[in-house]
Amino acid sequence: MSNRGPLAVAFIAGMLMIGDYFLDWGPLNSYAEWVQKYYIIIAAFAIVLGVASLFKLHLGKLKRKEDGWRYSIVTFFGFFAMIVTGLFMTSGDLTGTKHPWNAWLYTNVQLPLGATMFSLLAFFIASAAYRAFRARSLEATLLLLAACLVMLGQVPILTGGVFESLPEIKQWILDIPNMASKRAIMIGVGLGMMSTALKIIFGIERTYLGGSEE
Amino acid sequence: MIFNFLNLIFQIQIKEGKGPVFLVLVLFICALVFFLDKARKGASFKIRKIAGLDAVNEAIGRATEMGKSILYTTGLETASHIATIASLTILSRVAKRAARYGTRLQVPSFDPIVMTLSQEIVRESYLEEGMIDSFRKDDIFYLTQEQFAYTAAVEGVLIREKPATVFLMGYFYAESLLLAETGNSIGAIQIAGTDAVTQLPFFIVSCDYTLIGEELYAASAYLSEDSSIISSLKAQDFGKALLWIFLFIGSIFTFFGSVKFLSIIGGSS
Amino acid sequence: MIFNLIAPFNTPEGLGIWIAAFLTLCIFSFLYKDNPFYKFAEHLFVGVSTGYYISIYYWNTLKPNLIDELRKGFSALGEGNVQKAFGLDENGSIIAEPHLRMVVPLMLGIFIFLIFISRKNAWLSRISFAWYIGVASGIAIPASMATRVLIQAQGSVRDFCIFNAGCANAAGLDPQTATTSLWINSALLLIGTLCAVAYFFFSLPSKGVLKAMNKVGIYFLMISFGASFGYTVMARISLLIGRFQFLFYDWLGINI
Repeated sequence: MSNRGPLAVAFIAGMLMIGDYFLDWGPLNSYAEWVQKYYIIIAAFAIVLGVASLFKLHLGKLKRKEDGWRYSIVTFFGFFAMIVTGLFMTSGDLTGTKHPWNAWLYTNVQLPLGATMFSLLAFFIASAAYRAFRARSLEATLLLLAACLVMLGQVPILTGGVFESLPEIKQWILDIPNMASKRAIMIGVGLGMMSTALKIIFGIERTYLGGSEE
Repeated sequence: MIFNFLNLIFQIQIKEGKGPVFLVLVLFICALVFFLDKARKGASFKIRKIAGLDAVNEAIGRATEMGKSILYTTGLETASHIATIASLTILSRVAKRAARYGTRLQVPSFDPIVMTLSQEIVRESYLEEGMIDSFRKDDIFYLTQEQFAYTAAVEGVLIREKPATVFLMGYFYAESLLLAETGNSIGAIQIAGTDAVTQLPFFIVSCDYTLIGEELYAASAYLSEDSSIISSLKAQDFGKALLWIFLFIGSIFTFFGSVKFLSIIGGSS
Repeated sequence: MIFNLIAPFNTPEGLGIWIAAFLTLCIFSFLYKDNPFYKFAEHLFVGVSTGYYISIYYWNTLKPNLIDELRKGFSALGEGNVQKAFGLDENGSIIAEPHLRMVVPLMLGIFIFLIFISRKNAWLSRISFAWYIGVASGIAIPASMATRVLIQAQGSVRDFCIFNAGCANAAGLDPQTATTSLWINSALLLIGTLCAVAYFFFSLPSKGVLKAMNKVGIYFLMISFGASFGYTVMARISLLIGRFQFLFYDWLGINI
């Protein structure tokens, strides 16, 4: 009962966007353009919820002196450092992320942390390969073989004789079996996305709305 | 005013080049309605086994027996991404089972709207199982919208909380391997599902079960045991079958010089 | 190896490099095991990134698209220009600046908060979520059909167009001479695609011909996953090299 209104809203909102794709009509096309702006504004409001959740989590840890509560102070320190420099400080015309202190924090704290986390992939990819590349079945053997051929084809450290063809073999693997699989997966994903989206618009799938007022 | 309104309606025109999409969409909707109608009249549909989904109960049971928690992540996209919505519907099924077995369910979120939706979905699942008193809202929390900050934080949760079961469902980027390998290192049973084609290999290699592409979208229907929702899988298969036949026949005819099939799907001038 | 001066500690740039290097080593320490340094870096990262996004959302989204528009709208209203206040011209047509029409997303945004104030008002927040997800679904339907299904189908059928000059010209392709390898490749591409698509049939039992096709399909899928895995290894290694270059060159001043 309580979800009828929202389901109707989902239906109308969805049908209007589908209509915009197929129809050339001023009011509808203008609405669809404005939807993009509405979207990011709602996302901006939603970040307040996110911050409230983050605060609740860490204040709770501080209050109850849970394991690792001191690190919550670090989180608050980082958060407020960025907020103060990004929202409240000005340096001439420079505000927000252009403020020198905010930019300094971004360049020397956020960027290196992100880049280092990204670089951990080199170690993890090696550990994943070491564990997974045991040819226990035909499927695993094919995976292993394809990975090795493509790796060697990209960086031809082995030369002479049959190894001269490695770059060509690599390209063939990428152009034929890889392309065939990717096409099939994309087709399946496209149909799956359409099906899920239609179920939402027609109200067949309504779990995303949650429930009652209890 | 009525004249102005009619004038406005008569300005509607159909955009060029959208014919093939419209045709396929209409066919798909007809199939969906047909199978939905059959389901509502009592037809039951058999679905072939999907290993990763059959393992969901086993995975939750494992967490219950070990007295450990379940960690569920909906990926690194917003609620406007269909994969995230699919993940949320799977979350409701997982939450129901977790509520039934009394297993703790943690959902660290990348997006605040997804967090709010997750809280409502899990709450509703606990309510339906009559276990609302066990629902812990604080277990569904927001971390950050920065890709690797979120990854670092989830890795921290994995290493410290050591959940017995990890679900990685949704859209992922490069951090997929970081999450999957960390989950592997703590000995958790991992069920992943994504439509991110570039990340599937890493999940295949690091996780116990992986839902490949469309299987993520089939999962919510598979786990729902509701024939109305399962009927959508029949519609998907119908669409796939049509496409399969089209590709097969179309390729043969095109090989012999026919342009007709290509022009139907908008691939030629 | 040439030793330069280590990054100076007493300049903002130098201090920044030292902090970046320290944080880099904190994250690398995770490879050994969880430890206080990693926990420190992780928690700092979460706090800093959340603060950063709030700043971005305010300056790039809320201020120009909402606050300034509402201010202009109320200003126009104060001047008595109701049409301009709602982003309409003299003829009643919609103009680029929405002004008070931004009250709509403002209300949708406020509705989201209501769920935390009172569960009795939760239905209002569900309206916002329903609109949000309804729009996403509506955008996704034709987009997924066009970009994921039809484009792939076009690609599959076009592969066979190159053997015929008339077809190739119509499709905007260069006609190719039908060599054996081209035939085999095209046939393999089609077989692989059809078998991999067949793998994703959910409502048919895996028996007989379908079982054989599923097997072939999974082999193609595994080759593809192996290829993707192998393809990204080099890219990941280069990221690590980048961090080592920072540590050795920018921080320690060691030229290797």
